[in-house]
Amino acid sequence: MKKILNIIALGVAMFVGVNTASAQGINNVKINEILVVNQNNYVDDYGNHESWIELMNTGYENVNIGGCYLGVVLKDGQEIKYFIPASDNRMKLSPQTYVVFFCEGTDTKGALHTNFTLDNAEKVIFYNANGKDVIDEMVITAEALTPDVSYGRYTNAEGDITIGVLSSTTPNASNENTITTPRHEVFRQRDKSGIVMTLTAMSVVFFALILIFLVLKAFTFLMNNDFSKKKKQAATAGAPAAAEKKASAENDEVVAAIATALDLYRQDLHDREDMVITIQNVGRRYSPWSSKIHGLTALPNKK
Amino acid sequence: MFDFLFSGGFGSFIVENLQQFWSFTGIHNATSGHLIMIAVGLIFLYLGIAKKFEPMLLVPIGFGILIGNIPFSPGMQIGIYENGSVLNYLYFGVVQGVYPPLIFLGIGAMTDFSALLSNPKLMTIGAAAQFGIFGAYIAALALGFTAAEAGAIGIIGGADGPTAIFLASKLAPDLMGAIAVSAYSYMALVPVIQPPIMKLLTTEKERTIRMRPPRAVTQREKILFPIIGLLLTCFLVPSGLPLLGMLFFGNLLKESGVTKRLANTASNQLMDIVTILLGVTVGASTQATTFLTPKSIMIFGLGAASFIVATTAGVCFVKFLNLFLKEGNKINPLIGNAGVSAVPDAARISQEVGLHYDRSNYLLMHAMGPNVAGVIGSAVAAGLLLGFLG
Repeated sequence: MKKILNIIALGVAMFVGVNTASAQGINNVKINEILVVNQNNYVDDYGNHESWIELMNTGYENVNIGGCYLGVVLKDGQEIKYFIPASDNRMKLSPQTYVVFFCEGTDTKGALHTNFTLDNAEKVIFYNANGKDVIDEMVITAEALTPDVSYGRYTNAEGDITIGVLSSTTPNASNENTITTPRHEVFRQRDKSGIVMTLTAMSVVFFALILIFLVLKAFTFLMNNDFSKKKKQAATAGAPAAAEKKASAENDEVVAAIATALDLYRQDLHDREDMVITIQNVGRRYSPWSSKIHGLTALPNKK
Repeated sequence: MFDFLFSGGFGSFIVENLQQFWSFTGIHNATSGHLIMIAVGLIFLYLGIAKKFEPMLLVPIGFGILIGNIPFSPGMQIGIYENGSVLNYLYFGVVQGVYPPLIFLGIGAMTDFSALLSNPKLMTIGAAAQFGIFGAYIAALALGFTAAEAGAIGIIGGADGPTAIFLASKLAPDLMGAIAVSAYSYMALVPVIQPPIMKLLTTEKERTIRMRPPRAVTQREKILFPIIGLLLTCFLVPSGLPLLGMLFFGNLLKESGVTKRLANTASNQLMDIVTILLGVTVGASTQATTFLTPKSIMIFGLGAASFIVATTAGVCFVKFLNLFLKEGNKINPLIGNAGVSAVPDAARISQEVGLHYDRSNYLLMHAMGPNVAGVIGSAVAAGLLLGFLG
C-alpha cells in the first residue's frame, strides 16, 4: 500500500513538475514589438501592409504558444481576444525566436492573422491558455501611433530592458539593431578610476565570507548547545548509567587483553624471536646457449 | 643520363612538389616570435621538471606552448585557432569556460575545509587578499585597458588559474592566453614572490606568534558547510554559480561519506583529465602571433603587481585584526599571505617561513583556513566582475 502511495506521489510530483516547467516556458514569451500604423513597412503573406504584433520567446527552452490568447483592450474598454491555433507548427517557438501576428480583424487568413485590429487599441495583452492570466502586456502610447514607427522592448544605455519607440522596425528579428555601448564601457564611464568597483566588490566579498562565518558560528553554537543539553541530561539523570558504561568499557578492555594474551600463547608468538629469517638470492642465469630446448630438433609438423 | 627524369615536366613536377613541401615545413614558416615562445615553453618545462615549481601545471602548459608554436602554413586545420582542428575542439572547453568549473569540482572534492571551520574568523583573511584583484583592476584601467579587459586581468591577483581562465573566457577572450599563462606562472612563483613581502611587513615577535591548535570539526559541520556555503554565496552572487556550485558540490561528495566513488573520480581521474586538457590547450593558445604583443607584457607586469598587493593586503589585514584580538587569540601574520587562493602552495609558504623563525611553530593547518577561504573569495570576486562587466 505504502509503495503504491509512493508511486502515486511520484507521479503527481512529476506531473506538477512538467506543468510547472511548461508554465515557466510560456512566461518567457513577451510582446516584443508592435507597429500600429503600417503604411510602407513590413508586408504580410498577402502583400498587404497591416498592423502587427511580434511575440518573442525570451527564454532558453522551446515553447508552444498554441492554445494561448492574444488580445487587445480598446479605448472604450471593450476586450477582444484571439485564440492562437494550437495545431500550427509556427506557434512552436524555439529559444530566442519570434512570431509576427498581423492585426487586420479577420480570422480567415490563417493562424498569423488576428480577429482584431490595433485601431483604437489601448493595450495589447498576451494571455495564457486559460485566457485570463496575463503573461505580458504593452500599453500603446501616442508615440506608437507615428506611421511606420514601431514600439517595443530594447536595452537602454544603462543596460536595462525598457519599452519605447524603436529606431527602426525589426519584425522577426532582435530589436537591438542599434550599436549600443557595451555594458563594461557604460560601467567604466561611470567609474573611471575603478574605485567604485573596488569598494563595491570588496564589500560584497567581505560580506559573503563574514555571512558564512556568522552562519557557521551559529550552527556550531546550536549543535554544541544541543550536545551540552544531552550531556547535562546524561549527567543528571544518567549518572549511574555512565558509571556502568565506563565500567563496561574497562571490562571490555580487560577481556580484549586476556583474549590477545591467550591467542599469542596458543600461537607461541613472542615479541622477540630467537632466530632470523632472511632471503637468500639464488641466481639462475638464463642463456639461450645453455638452454636445452634450443638443442632439440623440432619435430616436423604433419598436417 | 638522367634526362628522362626531366622529360615531359616530370622533373619539374618533383621540384615543384619539393618546393611546396618546403613551404609547408616549420623551418620555412618559423619567425623570431615562434622561437621566443618555444624558449618560453622550454623555460616552463625546466621550472616544472628541474625546479619542481607546480609541475602538474607547468609541464602541460610548457609543452602546450611548444605545440602551439610549431610554425605551420595556415589552412591545414591543425592550429588551435583553426576551425575544425583537433586542438580547436579541445580548446572549446577553455573558450566556453567548461574546464574551470570541472577543475573546481575536483578542488572541492580534494579540499578539507576543517581548518576553516575550526576557526571561521580566518575567512576574513581570504576576503582581504582579494584586494590584489582590484588593485590590478585599477592599474589596468589606468593603463588604458577596457573595463572588461581590466576585470579579466585583475583576477590574476586571485591566484587561481581556473578562475582566471573562466573570467577571461567571458570578459576578454583575446587576452586569455596571456592571462592564463601569467596566472599560472605567478602561482608557480609564489615561493619566490611571497616570502620577502611577508618578512618585510612583519616583526620578529609577530612571526613567532603561536596560534591555538584548531579544534576538532564534526562530520555534521563538514557536511553542512558546502550546503550553507553554496546557498549563501550564490544567492548573493549568482554569477559565481558555475565555479562555486561545482566547488561546493565536489566538497559535499567528499564529506558526505556516501559518495566516495564520485569524490574519488572527481578528485583523481576527472581532475587529471581536465588538468591535462586545460594545461595543453592554454599553453597552445599562446601562439606567437597572438601572444607576443605589448598587451601581454603589460599583463605580466600587472599580474606580478596583483600578487604583491594580494600578499600585502593579507598580511596587513591580519596585523589589523590582531589589534582587536586578545593575547592568546592572536593570529600569526605569516598566514596572511595564504589568503590568495594558490592552494596549498601559499599555505606551505606560511609554514616554511614560520618554521624559519621558530622550529616548532607549525602554521600549515592554520594557513589552510585563509587559503581555502581565498578560493571562495576569488570565485565570489570573479562572479561580481562578471556580473558588473559581462
